[in-house]
Amino acid sequence: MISVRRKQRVDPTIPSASMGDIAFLLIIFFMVTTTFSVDKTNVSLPVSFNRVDVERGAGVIAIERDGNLHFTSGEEMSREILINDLVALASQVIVADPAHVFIIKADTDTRYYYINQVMESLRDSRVVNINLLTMQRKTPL
Amino acid sequence: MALKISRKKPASEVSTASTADIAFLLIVFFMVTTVIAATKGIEFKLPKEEKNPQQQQVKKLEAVHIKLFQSGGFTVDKNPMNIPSMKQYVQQKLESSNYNKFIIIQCEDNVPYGNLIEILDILYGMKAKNIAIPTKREIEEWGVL
Repeated sequence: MISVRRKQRVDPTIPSASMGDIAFLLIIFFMVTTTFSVDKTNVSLPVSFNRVDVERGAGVIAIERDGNLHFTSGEEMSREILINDLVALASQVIVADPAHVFIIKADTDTRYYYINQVMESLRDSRVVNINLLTMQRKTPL
Repeated sequence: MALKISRKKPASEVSTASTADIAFLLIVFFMVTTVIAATKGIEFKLPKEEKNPQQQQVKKLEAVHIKLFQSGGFTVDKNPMNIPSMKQYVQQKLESSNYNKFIIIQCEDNVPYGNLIEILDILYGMKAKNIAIPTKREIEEWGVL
């Protein structure tokens, strides 16, 4: 006697009960980690091994390779400015917050001449805390 | 007699065939739109007004002077050096002064910013506490360098 057993077919179904949970988790994750950058100037940053974090809300002074300047106090989007305007703009920020941090986002090939001009303006504005933005160097020199 | 055979209604299912597609689309979307905000860099503090200008002058005279040239080379206390010898020299000076020695960095106009960052990075790595990058105006005022 041949006993024919029918194999019980199990329908392959992926349980979708947790789909909603995963969707909300992803949404919350990206809501928390998304930061809005105040400066979108495209520069090729120099590299350094030693780096220090900057707090949120720091001002940004972007110096392009050819010397074009972009400025933001940290609260609004950056805009292109002339070197002569930098003292007034930075002073305004320092009057309200003397310890305000300014990030200098300069291209690695920018001539020191332009950096010097910005530094002079920042001295005149009584800026104290500066952070020179860099990318991470993998090994120390 | 009609027997009502109640058939089980097939449970309505949400088709999950496209779950994987949606997941990959979301991943690709966020990978493309996420900007890695570079907010780390080298900390640099500009000097506050020095109360005692004489003391400031003395510090500057005894400082280690590093001058960068547009050719890419640099001199340390007027001696041309490369990076390993510069590190050795500065390390000696720092150790003898308990890391309080002033290091003054001066650059020619056409020196690329990257070179200055390189030197600063090395000095920070050696735990130098007092690094000064005087502006051209200040150098003219001092007249020492």
